[in-house]
Amino acid sequence: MNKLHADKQNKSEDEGYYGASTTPMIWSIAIHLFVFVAGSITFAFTKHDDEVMTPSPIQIEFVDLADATNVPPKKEDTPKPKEEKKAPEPPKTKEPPKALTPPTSKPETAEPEPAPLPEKVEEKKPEPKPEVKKKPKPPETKPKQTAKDVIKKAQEEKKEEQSEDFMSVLKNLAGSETPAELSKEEETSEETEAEFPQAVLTRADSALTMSEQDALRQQLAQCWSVVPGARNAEDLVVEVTLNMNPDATVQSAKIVDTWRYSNDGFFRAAADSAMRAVRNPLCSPLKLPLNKYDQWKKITITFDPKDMF
Amino acid sequence: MHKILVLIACLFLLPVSTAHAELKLSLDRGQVEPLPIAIPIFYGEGVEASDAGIKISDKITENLKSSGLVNVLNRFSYLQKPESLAQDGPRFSEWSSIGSQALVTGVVKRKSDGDLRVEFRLWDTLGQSQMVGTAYTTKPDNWRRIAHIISDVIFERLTGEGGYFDSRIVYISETGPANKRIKRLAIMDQDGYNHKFLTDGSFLVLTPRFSPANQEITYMAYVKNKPRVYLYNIDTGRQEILGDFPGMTFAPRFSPDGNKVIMSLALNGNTDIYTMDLRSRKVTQLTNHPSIDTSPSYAPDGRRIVFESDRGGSQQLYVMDQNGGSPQRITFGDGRYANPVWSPRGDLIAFTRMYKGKFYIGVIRPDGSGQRLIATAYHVEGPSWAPNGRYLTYFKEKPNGNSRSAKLYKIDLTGYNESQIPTPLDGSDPAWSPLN
Repeated sequence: MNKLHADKQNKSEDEGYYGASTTPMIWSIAIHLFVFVAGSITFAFTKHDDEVMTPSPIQIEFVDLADATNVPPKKEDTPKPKEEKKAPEPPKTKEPPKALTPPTSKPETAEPEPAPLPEKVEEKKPEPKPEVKKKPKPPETKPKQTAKDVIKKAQEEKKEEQSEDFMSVLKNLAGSETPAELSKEEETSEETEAEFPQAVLTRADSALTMSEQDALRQQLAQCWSVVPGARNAEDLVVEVTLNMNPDATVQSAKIVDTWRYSNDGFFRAAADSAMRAVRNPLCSPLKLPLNKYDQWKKITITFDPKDMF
Repeated sequence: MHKILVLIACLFLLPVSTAHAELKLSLDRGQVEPLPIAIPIFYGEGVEASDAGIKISDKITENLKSSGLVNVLNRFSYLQKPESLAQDGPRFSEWSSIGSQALVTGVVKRKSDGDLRVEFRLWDTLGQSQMVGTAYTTKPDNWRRIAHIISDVIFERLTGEGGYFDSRIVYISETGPANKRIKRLAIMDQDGYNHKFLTDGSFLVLTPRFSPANQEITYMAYVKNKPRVYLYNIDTGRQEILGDFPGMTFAPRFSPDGNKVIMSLALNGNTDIYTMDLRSRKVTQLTNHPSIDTSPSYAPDGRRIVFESDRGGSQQLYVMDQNGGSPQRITFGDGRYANPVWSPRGDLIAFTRMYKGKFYIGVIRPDGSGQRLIATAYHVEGPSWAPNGRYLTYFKEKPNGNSRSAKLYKIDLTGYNESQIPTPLDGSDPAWSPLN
């Protein structure tokens, strides 16, 4: 308290001392202040201008992407191969899983016997469509996993037993699909090996390059079989959202416009063909750079057939 | 205040982060290939049921194959047997392993009263789910109809569009030498089965047309050498002349609701288009032009009419309002255009085109754009639409020594899937019925 008092006293003394002699001093201070304030305001504006200019760096980022696309393949070999090897594996582990799901859904669908109807059409309630096909990826579904594993083994054994007979039958068939199918799967895994090295070299945090996107597009185009002859085909644009596993297999797929799916027969047919594309064995795994998983965890594909007709 | 700032900051950041996590891709091309589908034999217990199961599944296979929509995989490649399918349901992995993307299964049972109960399901083998399932009960000798109905259900589920298998075709059956040709009205299923003659050949019949709404046919006949338009009721077999006009009436066709017949009347050397209300028998003249206006056909909404006319110098197609107003020419190609028929789904008009000594069947949009020729031959003529507007039937004639041989064909809109419709004799002027 005392100290405060002392300060105040000093202040008033000072005021007394200067107050008498210097009005010009006040002016001087005021002008200085003005100059300072004016200067800072101007600077503020010039800075602002700078900021307005900054958007141009976006271009630089874009160039960066293109650069990455063209990076020659063989420089950083050492770390990548490991990641690549991961890529080919998943398809194998995944294939059996597909075999797994059927048994579980099968009994459900077969059970509900259509009630004997009088003469004609008796609609059987298609059980709720399991749109989401779960790949047996590690954590999620514990109970299913175990059940599936058992069935999986059983099925794998069966498959092996049958495969010999099967292949011999197929050899006799003129246009049978299977051999093609099988070899294609092998091909795709080889292709993925072959194509990934380039992709893998790009930075993991960068977006997919144009060539990576094109590879994916090409692959999907092989799997998408368009129903020809539909009226107003140009309106039948279907959006499908995929949740992806890290091994580039589809974890789940969903039609975005569910209302239209259940109310428009044409759209439903188009949407079904889109879903068949993403579930097609030729499109599993999808050709994606595995090290950029963050970029394609979720994929939205727009199937737009209007240019085809 | 702080909270608000944080919130605003979050709003700005949000789209950026999601943009990174989600990849967006647009696909504008795919394969135009028939869907690979498996149709194993329908399982039946007992001799009769299993026999019917084989026949029904074979018929469905034949139907769907001829549609060009699907590629039915060879049964030798199927791993799961019909019995196992019936008892355990499909093992999807086995079906997708042979390349099938859809699967049709069925079970046939013979009921205590002798009727057949046919239950079928369409499965999505990749999605591992049922797409549609239905059951039908009928007399055993009606198995063919059930196969057609099931084919229609499958077609509709796969395309979103109604089918055409459970429908009929009425046509002119022809026999005899060119100078003494006997022409009879005949009717059959669209695949050529259940064939029946409706007239006895004692008079000449031409251009039969099905009513889109009733079991009626309209056609032109020369009875006692007088060319007139007639109505024929398929259920009752009753035939009646349509109005008593002073001149010749021809090229009749029903309105979409089946209540009117639109036709040409040649009077005093001039041909114009008229309608007759079938209930009041009131006649209305729609065109009044010194040229020949003929072959009228209604749009499915009944608001417009396409017809052929030589008012512009050559025979071309025109579209006018239902009352005959504002006719617009829609074809400008070389050669002559004739027999326009508006598709039941409204998007296209089929026609016959004659150019440099050849005949073509083509389609064009009602505004005159998008003309496409889908079939050609020495002589093709008389297109008629399937009830779903995706297929056409017509007849094709070949010179055959001194006489001619005419057969019926059907083709899809792509022009790739053409097949002959079997008829006991020669056939011309086919007209497709609506779905039964």
